[in-house]
Amino acid sequence: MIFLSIILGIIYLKSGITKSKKIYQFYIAIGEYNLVTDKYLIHLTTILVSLEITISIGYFLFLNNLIFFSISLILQLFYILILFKNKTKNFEKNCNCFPLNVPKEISLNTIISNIFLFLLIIINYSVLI
Amino acid sequence: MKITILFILISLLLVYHYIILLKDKRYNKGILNAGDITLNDFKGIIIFIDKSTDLENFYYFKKIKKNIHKEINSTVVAIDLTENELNVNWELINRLKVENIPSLMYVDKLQSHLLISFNDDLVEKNPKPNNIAKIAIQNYRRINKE
Repeated sequence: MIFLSIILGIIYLKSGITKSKKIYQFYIAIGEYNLVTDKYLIHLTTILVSLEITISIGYFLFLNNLIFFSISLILQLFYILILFKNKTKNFEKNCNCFPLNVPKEISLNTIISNIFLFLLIIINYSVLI
Repeated sequence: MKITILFILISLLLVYHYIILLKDKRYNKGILNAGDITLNDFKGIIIFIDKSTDLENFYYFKKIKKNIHKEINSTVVAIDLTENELNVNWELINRLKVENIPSLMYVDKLQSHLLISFNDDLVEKNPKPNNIAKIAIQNYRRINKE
C-alpha cells in the first residue's frame, strides 16, 4: 500500500504547487466562497496552501501518525463542505486554475472526486496502521 | 523525526506564502483604474492591461513591471472595456494615443510613445516577461536618445 501513499502524495503535491505558484488567484477564488472576512482571508489562504504541500511530503515519508491523518482528513472534509455549500453558485472571479478543490463551476464530478480522495485517505491510514 | 521535519516545513511554508501573498496584494493595490488616472506629472512607462483578463495574466504583467521598475519608473493601468464605458477616462486614453491593449507606453508629461504592442511579431515570437521588459527598456532608451 506504499503505492497509495505515493499516489496521494502526488495528488497533493501537484495541487499544492499549483496553488502556491498562483497564490493570488487562489486567494481571490477562496474569497468568492465567502468563508471568512477579508482580514482573515490571507491567513486562511496561507494555511490551506502550506498544509497541502506539507501533507504531500507526509505521504511521501509514509507517515501513519494519527495527527497527520486527522489533519489531511479535515482539510479534505473542508473542501467537500465548501463545495456542497456553494454547489449552485457560479464564480466570476475564479480563474479555474484549481478545478479539483475550488472550481469556477461546481459539478457533480468535482464533488465525487473530492469524496473519492477523502475515502483514499481513510483507506491509506487503515492499511498503514 | 518525521513529524519534526513536517513541522519545520509547514512553518517555513506559512511564512513564505504569507510574504508572497502580501507582496501580490500590494502590487494589485498599485494597479490604477483607467477612470482614476491623473498623469500630469508622470514620467515613465505605463503598462496598459485589460481589466477583464488581469487575474489570468496577473503574474505575467507583475513580472514585466518588476523587471522594468528596476530601471525605470513604471505603473500598471487596467482598462475595463466590458463594463460601463463612462468609467474609462477616454480623454486621457486618446491623448496618450493608446491604440492597443495590452501595450506598454512611455509617457513624459502626457507626451506618449508606444514601446510595445502585444500584436508585434517580435513580441509574439518571444512573449516571455523578461524579454518584453528588455525590449521595452531598449525602446525607451532609443526614444530618449533621439
